[in-house]
Amino acid sequence: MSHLGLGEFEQMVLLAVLRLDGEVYGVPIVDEIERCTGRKVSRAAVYVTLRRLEKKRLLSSWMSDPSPERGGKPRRCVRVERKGVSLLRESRRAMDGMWDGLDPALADLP
Amino acid sequence: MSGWPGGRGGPGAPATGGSAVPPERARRLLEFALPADDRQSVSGDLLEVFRRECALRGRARAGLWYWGQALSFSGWFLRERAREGLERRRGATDELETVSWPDPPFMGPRRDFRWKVGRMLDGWARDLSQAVRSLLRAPAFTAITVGTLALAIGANTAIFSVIDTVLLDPLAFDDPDRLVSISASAPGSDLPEEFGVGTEFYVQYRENASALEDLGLYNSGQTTVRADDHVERLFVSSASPSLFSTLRVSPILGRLATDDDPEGVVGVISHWLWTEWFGRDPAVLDRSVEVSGNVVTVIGVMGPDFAFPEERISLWVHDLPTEPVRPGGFGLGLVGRLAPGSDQEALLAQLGPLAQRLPERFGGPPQYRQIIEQHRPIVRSLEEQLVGDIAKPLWILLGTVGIVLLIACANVANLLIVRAESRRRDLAVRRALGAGRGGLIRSQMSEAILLSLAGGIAGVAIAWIGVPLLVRAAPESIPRLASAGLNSMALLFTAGVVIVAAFASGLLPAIRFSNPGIAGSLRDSHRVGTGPDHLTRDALVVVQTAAALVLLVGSGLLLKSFIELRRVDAGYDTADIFTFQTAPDPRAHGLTDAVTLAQFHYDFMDRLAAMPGVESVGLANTLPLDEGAGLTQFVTERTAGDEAGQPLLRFTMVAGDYFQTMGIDLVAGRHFERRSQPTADPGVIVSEAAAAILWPGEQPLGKLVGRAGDPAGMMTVIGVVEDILLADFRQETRDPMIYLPMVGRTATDWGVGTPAYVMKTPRAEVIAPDVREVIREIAPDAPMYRVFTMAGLAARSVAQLSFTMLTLAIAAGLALVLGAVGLYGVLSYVVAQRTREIGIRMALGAQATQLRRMVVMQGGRVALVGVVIGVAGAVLATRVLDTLLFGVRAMDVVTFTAMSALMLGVALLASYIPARRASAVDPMTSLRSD
Repeated sequence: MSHLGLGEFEQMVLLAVLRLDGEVYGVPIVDEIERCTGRKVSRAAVYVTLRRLEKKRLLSSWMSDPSPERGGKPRRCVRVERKGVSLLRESRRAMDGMWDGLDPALADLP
Repeated sequence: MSGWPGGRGGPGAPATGGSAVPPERARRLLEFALPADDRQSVSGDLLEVFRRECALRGRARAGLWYWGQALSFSGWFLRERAREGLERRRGATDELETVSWPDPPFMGPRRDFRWKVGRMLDGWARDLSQAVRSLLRAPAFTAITVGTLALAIGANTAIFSVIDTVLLDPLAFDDPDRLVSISASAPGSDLPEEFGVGTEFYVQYRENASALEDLGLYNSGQTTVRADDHVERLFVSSASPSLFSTLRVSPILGRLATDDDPEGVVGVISHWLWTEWFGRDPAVLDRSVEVSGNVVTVIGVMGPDFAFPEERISLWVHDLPTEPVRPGGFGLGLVGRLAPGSDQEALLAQLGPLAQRLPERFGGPPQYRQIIEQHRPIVRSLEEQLVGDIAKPLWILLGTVGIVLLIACANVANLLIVRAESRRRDLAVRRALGAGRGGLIRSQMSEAILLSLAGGIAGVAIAWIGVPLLVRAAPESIPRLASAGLNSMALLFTAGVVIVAAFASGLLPAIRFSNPGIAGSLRDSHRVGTGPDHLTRDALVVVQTAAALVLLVGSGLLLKSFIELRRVDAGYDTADIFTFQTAPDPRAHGLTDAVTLAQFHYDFMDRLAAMPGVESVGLANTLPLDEGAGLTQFVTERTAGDEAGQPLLRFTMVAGDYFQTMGIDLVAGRHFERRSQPTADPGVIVSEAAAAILWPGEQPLGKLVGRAGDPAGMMTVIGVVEDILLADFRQETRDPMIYLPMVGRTATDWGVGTPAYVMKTPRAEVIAPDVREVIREIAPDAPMYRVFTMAGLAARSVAQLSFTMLTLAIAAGLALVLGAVGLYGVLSYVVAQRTREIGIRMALGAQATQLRRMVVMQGGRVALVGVVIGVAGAVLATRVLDTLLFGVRAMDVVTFTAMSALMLGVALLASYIPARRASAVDPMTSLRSD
C-alpha cells in the first residue's frame, strides 16, 4: 500500500481532526494545526488535503445545518475513518522505528 | 454549537464584525474557482474567518486578507480540479462512478470536448514548465538562442515600426484614398521627365474636370522669414484657399483665407512656428511676419498634425490665382480630391484633352504650344507622391531583416537538433513506453516556443532602443519618420514574428525526433555524424550560408556604389569648405538696394577672410547640393527674336573668391571684379556646357547673353568655368550654369540679400563658433543659419544610399556571424560525436593534418553548396537594388566573387577551430570515452 502512505501534511490534518471534538470542520482544523506546530499553514492547502483524504476514504464528511452567522452556509464536518487511524499508526510506527536508538547517538553531536 | 469547539483552537466568536461582507469580486472569483460540492462550505468557512479578522484587525486588512485567500484558494482548487480530471480520465470507469463528490461542471454531452481541451491545456502546461526548467539548466544554450532570436526579432520590429509609420499609416487627411497628386510630363521637350504644372492648368482642371470634387494649388520653397527678433530661413508654401478645402483641414485657431482675401498678404502658420516663435500666444492672430520682404498678416494657426506638402513647411501664404493667367509658369503642385465614384484612370482620361485646349484659352508663345502638344498628365495617389522613392529602400530593409530572421531561425533549429540528438535515447524510451508522437512534438516545441517568446520580449527591448537610433541615422527627407516608434501595430507584428520564429526553428527538429527508432537510437548513439539528421543539419547550414551570401552581395554592391559616388568629380571640392547664411536686418544696416547690400557683403567677407586659418572667402546666392540654383530662359544675339530657341538654364549670383574657394576651375577668361559696382556691362561667367548650348561650336568669351525679359539686358561673357553637379552626386551629367555678378547694370536690377558664404579653411568643422562671434560684432541681431560644411552637404545628398547601405551592411554582418556560428556549432558537434572514430583513425596512423583537412573539407563542402545557391539567390535578389546602385551593375562579377570568397573564407575558419580540436584528440582517451 505504499502509494497510500501518508504525507507529512496529511498526517497533520488527520491528527488535527482527531484532536478536536464536536463539529470538526475547516476553520478549527487550521487553527489547531497552527496552534500545535506554531507555524502558519496555507488554508487552501488544508482544504485541498481534506478533499483528497476523503477521496482516499480516510475521512468521511457530512453537511451541518446552514447557520445565519455564516451567511446561511453549511459547514462540511469531518471524521477520521478506521482506515485513516490505522494508516496514521502505521506512519508513526515507521517513524518511531527509524528514530529508535538514535537519540543517544545524536545527543553527542554538537 | 459555536464555530470552534472548546475554545482550544482560537479566540471565541467575536460579537463585532458579525455582519461585514467580504469584497464582492474576490467572492465571485472564489465561486468560480471552487468545485460546486465545496463551494458553500468553503465560502462559509472563509466568511466566518473574515468576520473574525474584521473584529481583530479592521475592515481594510480583513478585506486584503480575504483577497489573498481568494487567490490562494483559486490557485489550489483550479489545479486540484485539473488533477482530478486527469485522474478520472486515467482511472477505471467503475472507480469514476464511485467518486464521492462528483464534479458537475464536467457532466453532460460536452464532456468529451471539455476533457480534450482540458487535457491538452494540462499537457501544454506540464511541457512548458518542464521546458522552463530544462532551459534554465542549460544557460549557455538558452542565452545563445534567445540572443540570436532577439537580435533578429528586434531588427524586424524596428524596421517594421518605421515602415508602419512612414508607409502604412494612412495620411492624416479625411478620406485620404481619394486624394491625388497631379503633375505633368512632356516627352520630347527639354523639360524634366516630370514637372509641376502652371496656374492655367489649375484654372482649367478645376473648372472642367468632373472627376474632381476639388482641386488645390500650391508651391513651396525656402525663404527668409522675420517676426519680432526672430529671423530664419524657413520652408514656406503659397497655397490656394481650395488647397485646404481639398485636404479637408481647418485651423485650430483663427480662420483660413477665402477668395475675398487679397493675395499674398495673409497666411496661416504651422503649429511649430506658433509654438517656437510665438509661445502659443492666441494673440498671434493679426500679427505680421515678413516673408522675403513682404508683410504677411497671420489669420490662422494649423494643428500639429498638418504638414503639407512636406513636414517642414512653417507658413502657408494665401495665393489666389486670378485671370488673366500668364501661361507657362510651370513648377506648381496640384492636389485633387476625386469625385465620389471616380478613379485615377477616369481623371487621367479627362485631364489630357483639357490640357490640349489650354493654348486656345490662355494663349502663349510657340514654345509653350509645342510643350502642350507633347504634354501628358501624370496622376498618382497623394500618399505615393508624399512617400516618394523612400518606399523601396524601406521594403528592401524589411526583406533584409526577414532574411536575418530566417538565418537566426535556421541557427536555432540547428541547435535544437543538436539538443534533441543528445536526448535521443530519452525520447526513444518515452516513445517505446507509449508516449504519442503528438506529445513528443509538443514537448519539444515547448522549448522553441519559450525561446522565441523570450527572444521576442528581448527583441522588443532592442527595437525600443533601436528605433530612435534608426530615426537618427535615416535621411531627414523621409516623411513622417520623426513620429516612428513602437506602437500596437508593431507589437502585433512582433507577436506574429515570434510565432513564425517558434515554428520555423522548432517544428523541423520536433518532427524529426518525434519518432526515433528505439533499437537504432540505443545502438547507434555513437554514429551521429552521418545519416538523415546529419543531412537536415547540413541543409540548415546551406540555407544560412546562402541567405547570408545574398545579404553580403547586396551590401557589397551598395558599398561599391557608395565608393563610386565618393569618387564622383562634382566640379567643386567638398573638403575643408565651411558655409553658412546670415540675415542682417536691412533697416538697421541701411541695406536699401543692391549696392548697399553688396557693400555689406564685401566688408563682411573681408572680416571673414581675416580670420585665422581662412584661405579664401566667397559667396553665392544659392549653393550646389543645398538650394540648387534658379532656372530661367537665356537669350543670345542669335536667339533674340526666337523665343522657342531660348534654352532654360540654371543661374546664380556669385562674388568674392567663390570659384577659388569651391575649387571650380576657370577654363578661360577671368573672374568677376573683387568689388563690383553698377556698370553698363557687369559681365557674366558661363560654364562650358552652358557655352556649348548657347554658342555651339563657338568661342564664348566676348559674346553677349542675358535673361529673357530681364531689364538688365545683355552682358558680355568674361569667363568660362567648368560645369558642376548641382542637385546630387547621382546625376548622370553636370549642369550647365550661368553666373551673374552681385550687382547688375543698376542698383535695382537684382540684389543679393541673404547669400550662402563659403570659406576655405582646414578648420571647416570647428570654425562655426568663431564665425558666430564675427557676426555678433557686425550685426548683433542677425541669425546664423544653414550652417554646413560642403562635406556634410555631400553626405546629406547621398544620405538615402548611405542609410540603406549602413543598415544592409549591419544586417549582412549579423548574417555572416550567425552563419559562421551555425557552421561552427554543427562541426563542433560532429567532431565531439566522432571522437571515437577519430581516435581509431589516429591509432591507425592518421596524421593530425589529414584529420584537420577532413573536418575542414566537411565544413567547406556544405558551405560551398550554400555559396552556389546563395549566388543564384543573389542574382535574383539584387535586381531590386537596381535603382539604388550607382556606377556598378547589379550583376557585378567582382562583388559576387569577393563576397563568395569572404563567405567561404569565414566558413573555413569556422570549420578550422573544431578541426584543430579533432586533431588534438588523444587516441587512448577517445577509445575509453564510452
